[in-house]
Amino acid sequence: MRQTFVWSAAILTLAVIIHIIGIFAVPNVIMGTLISRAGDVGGVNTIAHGKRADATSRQIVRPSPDLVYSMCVFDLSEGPLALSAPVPADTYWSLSAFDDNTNNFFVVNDRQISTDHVEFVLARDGYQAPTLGGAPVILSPSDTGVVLFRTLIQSEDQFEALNQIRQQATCAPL
Amino acid sequence: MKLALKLGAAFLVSVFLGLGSVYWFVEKSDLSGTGGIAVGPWTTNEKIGDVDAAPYTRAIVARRGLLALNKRETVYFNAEADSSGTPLVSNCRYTVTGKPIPTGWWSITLYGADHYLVDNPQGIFSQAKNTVTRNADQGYVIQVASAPEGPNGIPTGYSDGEGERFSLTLRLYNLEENAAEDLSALVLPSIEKGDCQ
Repeated sequence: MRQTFVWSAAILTLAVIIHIIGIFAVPNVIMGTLISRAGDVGGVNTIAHGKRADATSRQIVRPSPDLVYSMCVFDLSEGPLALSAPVPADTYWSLSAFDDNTNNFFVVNDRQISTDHVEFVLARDGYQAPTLGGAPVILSPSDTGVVLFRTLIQSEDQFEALNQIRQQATCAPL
Repeated sequence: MKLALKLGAAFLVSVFLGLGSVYWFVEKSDLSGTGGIAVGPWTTNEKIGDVDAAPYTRAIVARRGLLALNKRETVYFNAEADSSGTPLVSNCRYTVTGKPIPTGWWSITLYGADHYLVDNPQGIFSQAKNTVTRNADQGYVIQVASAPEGPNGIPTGYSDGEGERFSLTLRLYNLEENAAEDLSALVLPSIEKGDCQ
């Protein structure tokens, strides 16, 4: 009887430890999988312009069919990146950055920008990044992560124009 | 030898229980933990995308809402049941009735149980602030059904057999600051179930 109790307690204790480790690991594992598949969308430290989400889209869960996404999977271990993008008029647009643990550590949208074009330097936290003509520096808490550009398609007849504008965004080593 | 077999079996059982419970939490539980908010059938968590998110919240979001923006930019509400608490199924008709929301842009999108958009003959996956036809009072009625009627429809993709579970996601982009301070005070759309096939 006592032996059964000891075995059961040991199994449950180990199960709880595995559970806790698993819960903490899930975001890193899922983000790591997305980053490791960067080759499917053009590679690391370069921008990939995803097609408009539909029922066949499987890259990211719960995509919005009203937005078009451009994504840059980044790896800052070799140095900072230069981000550049036109900001379309009269529609929602944002640039957001996520670390390797899924935290959204930076976001800026069209309402916060008074110009029709933005440039940023993306660098590792603590890195003394050279500026890009005074471009603001975004500091990432991890070497790897994702920068995502979102553009809202307000109406179908705007799609081609907005699609062309968002494809002018770039993400490349500084 | 016998002890080694026992230890091996015990380890496997622990791994099964440990990882199985991780899977269950990530796939089945809602975001009602620390920071969780429910408004009618809609639930969200203020910590989505946030550095301070609890481990369970972060794990659920990574699985079911990867690359979600934080609350300062976007609030994501999810509904897996109608206003009476009955799970949403694709062979039933639902009426979603809403009023203006103090936000820059909003949308309601239908997702299957696998968290992806559902194939449907109409090729429509959502209704949004910029697409929905409004009533005289600026409110709107969206019908969610296999063959929705009226100007604002979201097809469920149902064709025959048993209905499948689905969920609706309400995205609120650039919510006005005072509204974002108390998400539980928001007036969000009701979801009323109609007839089923």
